[in-house]
Amino acid sequence: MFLLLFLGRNAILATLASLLIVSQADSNSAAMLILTGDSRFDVAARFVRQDASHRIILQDPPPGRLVRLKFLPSDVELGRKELLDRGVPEDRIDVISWSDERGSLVAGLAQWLDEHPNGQVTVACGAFSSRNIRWSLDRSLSPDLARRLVVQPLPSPSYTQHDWWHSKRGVRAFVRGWASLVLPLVHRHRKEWRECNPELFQPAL
Amino acid sequence: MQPGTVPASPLKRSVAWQRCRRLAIVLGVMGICYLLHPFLLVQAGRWLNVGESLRQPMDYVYVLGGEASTRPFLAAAIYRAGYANTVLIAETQVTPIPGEAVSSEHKLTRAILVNRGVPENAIVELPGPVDSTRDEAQVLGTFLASRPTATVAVVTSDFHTRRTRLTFRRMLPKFASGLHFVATPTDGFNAENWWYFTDGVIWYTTEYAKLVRDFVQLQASRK
Repeated sequence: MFLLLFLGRNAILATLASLLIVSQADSNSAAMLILTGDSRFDVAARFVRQDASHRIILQDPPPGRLVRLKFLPSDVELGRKELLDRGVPEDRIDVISWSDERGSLVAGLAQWLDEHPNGQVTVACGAFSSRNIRWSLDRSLSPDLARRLVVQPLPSPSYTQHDWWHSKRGVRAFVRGWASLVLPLVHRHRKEWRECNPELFQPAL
Repeated sequence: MQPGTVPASPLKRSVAWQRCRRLAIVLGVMGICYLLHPFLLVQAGRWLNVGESLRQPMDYVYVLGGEASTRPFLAAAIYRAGYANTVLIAETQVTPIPGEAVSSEHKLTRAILVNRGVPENAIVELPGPVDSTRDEAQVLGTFLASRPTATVAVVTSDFHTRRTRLTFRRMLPKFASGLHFVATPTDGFNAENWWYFTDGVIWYTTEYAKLVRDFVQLQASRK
């Protein structure tokens, strides 16, 4: 039994990774929402080059401490810069905000879809988070809106589903993919995510 | 008994009984684990944290890479409280990835330290590049080679302190008595609730895996 598992480990690990991936590539999308994935800005720039009417949607999550204190740019600032560097016109970029702190972008996305009733939207994300994202969208949007979204898993330059266990980023993406899928099943009630207060560091002294 | 059926032999009955008993034990253990899982998971989380309170001033405070939203803030608080005169940071690898704001973490750490009141001339950058806790121990060892009696407060995340202590004590046995490990809280979760959060599950489970890996590797390198 253990010998079989050992001999077949590559196939088992690749199969476990493949379960995390949903691919619904669609050529009719009028817009692309970019979430995660190392190659997301390149893919988005190609998408706009294909058709000048295509739009790119960036998400605007609540800023963390380092963004609020201006040590780091926000996701939107960073995303906008990466897209402009790749030749995407400013007026092709839309931004949707998260509905509440550490909540989700679902409300903003639903509003965007209502305001743009025609066409589909491609949701570009890291390959190993694609099933979780498809599942989250199906759970939180009405079936009509969810049908208009197609999930496109993006390849990573660091790893594939056949060799993810050889790289740190691959292992992290794999564990994150499975944890994101399983945790909502195990915990029905979500705990509130809270930043720790750096002023409370004094007890260490 | 119906005609044609054969009664089970005592041996077969005994094997079946043993199997039932084993199954009952496994189910019982699983049930107890389920009932106790909040307690067990809290204990597992707490066990990783071996952070100390600083009782006396140190010569240096060493901020480990990662978790830039918390660790440099605590290091700056230690400096401002007069518990250290110099902050050490290790040069990290520069890995420009599109869409990631941080390309060199030590520069970000330095900027935070300065912003939080640590003068530029009180920050010493240890030459790297470092990419792991072991690398960080190694560059500290090189720095301490000419300062064998120095005391250092090593600042890292709470769940990372046990592995850091193991690594630093094993790799720097000559300086072990001068090393103290200070825990920063983590944004979002702690030892009491980590299993509710995706990042918590990732950090705590991978920390256990890395702890085992480092323990085995450090044991092997000793022999």
